[in-house]
Amino acid sequence: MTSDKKAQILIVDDNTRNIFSLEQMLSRSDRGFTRATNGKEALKVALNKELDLILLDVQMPVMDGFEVAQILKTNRRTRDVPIIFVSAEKKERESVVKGFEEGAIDYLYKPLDPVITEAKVSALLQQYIQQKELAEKNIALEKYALLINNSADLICTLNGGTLKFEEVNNSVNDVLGYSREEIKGSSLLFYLHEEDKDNVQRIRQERKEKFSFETRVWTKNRTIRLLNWNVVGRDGRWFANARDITGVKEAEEIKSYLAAVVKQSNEAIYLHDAAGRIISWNKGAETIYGFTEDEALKMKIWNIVPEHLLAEAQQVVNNILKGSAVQSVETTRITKKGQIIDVLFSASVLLDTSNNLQSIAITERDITQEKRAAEKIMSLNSDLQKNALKIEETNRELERALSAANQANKELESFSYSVSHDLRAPLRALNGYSQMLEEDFQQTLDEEGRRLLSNIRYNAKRMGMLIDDLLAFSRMGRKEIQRSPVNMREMISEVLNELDDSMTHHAKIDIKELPPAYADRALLRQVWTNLISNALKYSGKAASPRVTIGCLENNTAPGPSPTCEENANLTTTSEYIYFVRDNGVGFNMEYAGKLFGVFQRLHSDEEFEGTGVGLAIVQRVIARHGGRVWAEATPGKGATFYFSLPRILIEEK
Amino acid sequence: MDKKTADIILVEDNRHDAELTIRALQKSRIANSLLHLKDGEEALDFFFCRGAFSKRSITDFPKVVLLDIKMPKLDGIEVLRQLKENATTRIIPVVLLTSSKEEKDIVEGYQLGVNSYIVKPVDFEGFQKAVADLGLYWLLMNQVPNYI
Repeated sequence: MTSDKKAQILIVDDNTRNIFSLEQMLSRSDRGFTRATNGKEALKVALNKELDLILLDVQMPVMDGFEVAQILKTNRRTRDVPIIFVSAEKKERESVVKGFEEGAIDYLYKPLDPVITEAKVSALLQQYIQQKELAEKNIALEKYALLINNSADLICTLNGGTLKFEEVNNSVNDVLGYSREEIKGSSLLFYLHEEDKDNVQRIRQERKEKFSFETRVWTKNRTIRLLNWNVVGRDGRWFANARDITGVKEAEEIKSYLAAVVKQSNEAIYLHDAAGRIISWNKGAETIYGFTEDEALKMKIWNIVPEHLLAEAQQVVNNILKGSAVQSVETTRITKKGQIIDVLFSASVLLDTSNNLQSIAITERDITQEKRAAEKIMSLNSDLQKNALKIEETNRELERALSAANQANKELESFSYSVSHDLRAPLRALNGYSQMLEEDFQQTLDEEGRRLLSNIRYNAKRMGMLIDDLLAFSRMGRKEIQRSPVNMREMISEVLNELDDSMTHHAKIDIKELPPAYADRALLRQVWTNLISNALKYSGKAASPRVTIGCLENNTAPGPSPTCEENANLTTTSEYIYFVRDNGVGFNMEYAGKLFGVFQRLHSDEEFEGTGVGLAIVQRVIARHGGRVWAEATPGKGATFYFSLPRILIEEK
Repeated sequence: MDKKTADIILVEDNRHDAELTIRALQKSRIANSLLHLKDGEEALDFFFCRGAFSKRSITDFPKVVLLDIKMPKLDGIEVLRQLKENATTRIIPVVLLTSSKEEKDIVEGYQLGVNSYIVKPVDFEGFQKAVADLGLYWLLMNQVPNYI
């Protein structure tokens, strides 16, 4: 009972004068008085008011003091309230005293002696108040005991020196697996993990009043638990509370791991509230959107939604708030820089433990690149299809062109066929009849007549040669190339053997090392024949004609402009360059461009016979083999004719 | 055409070429027995005893046929084909005469079984020599089965 509360005293007497005199006698600042003038009234007061002492007059009409006391003693609420009977006669006491042996009870006799009265009242009051306080403390202790024993934490007292358990609560069983009896008297050190013992010893030696620490402990079935200790040290004793935080720790670890995952994720992970206010923003979101966490936390999600999607986004939020989750939906968002990006959007609502809305959790993956790539692939595919169509179209065109070319070729063939037959027959007739004239009219023809006839025959013959060469040239263009390995040295020997002795007999012919070629035999032979016979022909008038045939090993010959555009991209290292050199009349390089044209000649027919087709054939054959031809010459000193053949074709064999 | 047969049958549409050929053969004195037919149609009539030649016997074989390739209507190649397809006429020696050196003609001729082939040179001397050599070979040197 607290000191600021007055002790409540009920005075019961049918004579108010007596009540008044008692009040005066007992009056003190820490006492309050209630009056009752009969038993009934007294009971009423006693039942409704907390009383610390009742002064009860014995002689009262209707219900005397004993009767009142008896009733009070039967009531749980009032039975412990001390009663002082006030009586006129001493003798009355004997008969009733037995009934009130239990519980505080005393007697005062009229006339009342103020000193005795005060002494008895204050003694009983003090006793009762102490008793009441004790009872209250007991209740409190019981509550604490209940609290302690029902706590999930291990609550105990330990000897501050030995760390032996003195008192432990029931949860020791749950936490360590030992019973209270097993644990009592054993030292905490016994249960500690080896690595934690030193730390606990150190803490013990510090002798602090209040401290906390964490230890790992072994349970009875040899598992490790993590305990968080809160200790009050007093009087050489630890009053300790140990909480099992094993699960908490694990949960914390998982939480911090998850937090790290979220933080480091490349995906945008963020939370917003029902109003759209962003309340969390991870690194991935920073990267994808360009807004820092600080910036984002001042924004609402509408800032990252393209304008035309705002209504839709609001609808999505509404749906999520109603509990539906969104899983991997493709949508677009807008970044700080205003770029529209494609994202794979997932969202769900986060509720707290009491199912109240906390926030909406969003994850977004930037799929802009993927989409671009996919679109690119699609467009490439469609391009490919278009290209395929184009190629088909081109193929058709090529086929048309080819069939046109075939047609042209056929026409050319029939043309050259006609030429070879029809043009030659008149020439033959011209020639034959001239000869017949000469033979049959020898006597009548004079010298001049014979000379004229001879000229007619010469020209007919020459036209025959022109036609032959022209046809040969035309055949070169039409004939299909059939490649095979060619031994160049052997081929040149054959060519030289076939050439007219009159051309070769006095020339010195030097054949150098020649790598083999991979070419059409007949055509290549024509090339050599034309080049070598040219060299012999044009050096035939030199004092000592010399013809050199060779090949440039390292292809370091001066690179002239290719004579054929389709071969212009050939590098010089990929070809062999063959040449035929003579010390003949040569030519002026100014006219080199005309060398390889059909019927183009740099010399008159009187100087050197020829139709001007040989080099055109050479050029045509080499071009069809993917090579080039060119020439170098100095007038009066000789000429060198080069032709190249791609090495790759040679090595293909 | 009263001639039933001859040693040499010349099938040539160009009369100048024919004259030159005959002259060349005459020079070698082997043109005594020569029949000049003007085109392929006439040649087939002759060989298969049709039309103007219906009275002759198919087995009156010449010693050699000089056959020009390029002729109007029916060309020499076609004549050759028909001659070589027929079991009776197949054994008649045929020499193709042509102005061209077209490989196509040469190959086709040999495929059809031509016995020889000569290109008529433009210069008369060369032509004369070629014809004379040919005539001599087929008339004098070549040994043919007795029943011919």
